[in-house]
Amino acid sequence: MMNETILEQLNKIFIEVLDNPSIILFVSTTANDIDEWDSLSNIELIVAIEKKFKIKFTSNDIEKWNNIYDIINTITVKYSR
Amino acid sequence: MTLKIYKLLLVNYRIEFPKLNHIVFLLEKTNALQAKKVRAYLETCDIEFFKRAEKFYNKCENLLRSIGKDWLFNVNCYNKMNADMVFERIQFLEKGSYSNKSFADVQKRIYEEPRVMEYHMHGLILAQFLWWDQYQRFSFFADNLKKYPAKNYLEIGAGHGLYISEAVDVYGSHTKFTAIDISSTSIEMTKAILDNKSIQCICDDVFNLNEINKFDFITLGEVIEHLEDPYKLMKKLHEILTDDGVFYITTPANAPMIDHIYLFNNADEIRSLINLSGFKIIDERSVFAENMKPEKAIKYKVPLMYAAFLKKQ
Repeated sequence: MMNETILEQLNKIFIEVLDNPSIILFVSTTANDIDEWDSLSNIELIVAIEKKFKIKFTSNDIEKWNNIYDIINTITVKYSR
Repeated sequence: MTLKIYKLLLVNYRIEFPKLNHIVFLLEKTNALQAKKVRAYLETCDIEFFKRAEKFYNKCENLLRSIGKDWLFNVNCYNKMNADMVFERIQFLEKGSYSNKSFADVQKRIYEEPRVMEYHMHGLILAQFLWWDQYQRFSFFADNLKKYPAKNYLEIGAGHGLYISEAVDVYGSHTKFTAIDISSTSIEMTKAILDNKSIQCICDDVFNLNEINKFDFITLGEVIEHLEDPYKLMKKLHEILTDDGVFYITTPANAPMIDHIYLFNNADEIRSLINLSGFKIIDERSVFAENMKPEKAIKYKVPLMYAAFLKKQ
């Protein structure tokens, strides 16, 4: 799956879960850029991403995340296996 | 205007307390989500918090030096521990139970895995002050300890020595201090951080303590959720506490972690155990781990920190 496609899908998930239609994700986006992205909504985001991409993250995957690029990278790696 | 003055004060805190500032800086570099949460939390903290945090992290730096590590190592451990917690939380919300069913489960996953033990224990060092609920249980202890004078203090599962260290400061040299922990890793960490020969650190099972040797203050922080049968330990502590002694207990509800076994669903279940074990509550504090309305916290099963000073019934 192309990174651009994953980014688009993630953007839809963030808009829906965080209930904010104005969210525009970039690969460099972090929690600092989105007010609604906190530790509680992070759980909902992870569950929604797992459901959408039909994958399961591990704690090792989550640990490495600092921005959207890191999430895309994890999804790409899981798809390539 | 008030906000501007407050922000200036905050900047001063950051200059005055360089250890904490460095930790936040490293968090900002490694985990934006955690850093954002911590920054927002620090803006609500008073000067006492910063003093206590800096004092503790100075002691922890001795430990890091002694094992040839630095704060970046510790922050990475903290990030790993938080990732474990997120993973456990997702499973908990799906299944309604903790992932560990027995002590043997935890022994295999954690206690017999030095790498996991290491990052988990080091991660908890930062959590003592960077988690709002963890600091609440410490400040509740520190702010009230002098009300309960003691000559023979016992702490079970002293961890990083934060509580026993405070007790030493409050009670002074006329009190005898004992820390006991079943884990050699944990007791070695306690010794390294405390660096105080007057505290007896024992690596043993608390059930091996003789009932003839009684204590007039017992601290049991974040221990019973690691057990299959908390009641058994509570009854043992009832035996080794003097009749007019005080017992400080903390434990969480709805707090999935890689080493938690016993699930309390709310504070009432903890109070029931206290009552059943022959203790009464003198004073208590409970807070949710996230800053939100209680109704929302209950709905999302947000972890609840419970702490209480107890006496025998």
